[in-house]
Amino acid sequence: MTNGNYIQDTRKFWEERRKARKNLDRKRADASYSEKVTIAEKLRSDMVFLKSGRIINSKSGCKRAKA
Amino acid sequence: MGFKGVISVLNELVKKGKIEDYAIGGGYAVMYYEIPISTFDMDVLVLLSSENDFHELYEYFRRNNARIEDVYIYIDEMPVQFLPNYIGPLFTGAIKEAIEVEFEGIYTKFASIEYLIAMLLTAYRPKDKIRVQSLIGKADQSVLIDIIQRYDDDKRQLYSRYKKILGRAPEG
Repeated sequence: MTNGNYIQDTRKFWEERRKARKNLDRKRADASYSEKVTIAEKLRSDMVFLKSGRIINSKSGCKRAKA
Repeated sequence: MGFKGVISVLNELVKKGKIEDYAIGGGYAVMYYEIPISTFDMDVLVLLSSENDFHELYEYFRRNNARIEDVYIYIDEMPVQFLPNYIGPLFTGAIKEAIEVEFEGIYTKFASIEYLIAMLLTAYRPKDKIRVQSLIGKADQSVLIDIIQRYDDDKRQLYSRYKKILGRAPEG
């Protein structure tokens, strides 16, 4: 994709996403206690899973400690 | 399932030609770099050949009866936001120079720390500044400066924000 194909109206794009994010945050805040527990457990499990990753290649020279 | 389920679907999208390539950005990428944060959704930068392909991507999920709310597509109960590369050249670079990571035999890509910082400096909300402060010590500063210089605007806003974060310039 050439530079000419980049959209100009990025403000509209991000505004739409800001609104969506607000809705999502509200939904999360209004969730029941059990739903919040489920979300927290899922997040904890994802964090453990993320730590198990092994870098295969890095083009920009990332220096992640456990690589 | 969760994260693992999502990356399997992302790889399937590449295989089926729905997207050319992708890189995980946002909160999940920050978490990957071992910064503990609370995030609920996943931001995925996607490489597409045209704006129409972005609409096609949503159509594909609609046809497969995926739950779609606002801009979020729910994959394995996780709200996933696709961010197309045509939003700006920084996104394209972040995808093309993403790091490839293997999880239990499944491969995925994350925006590098340096690109992640550049994207956070672009958004520059209060939470982004906190995330940059946490990530900056893990970044290769010469790579980061190179990225900032490549994608900065005429006013050198990214570089100025970078300097502010480093505490080398007064908050304006």
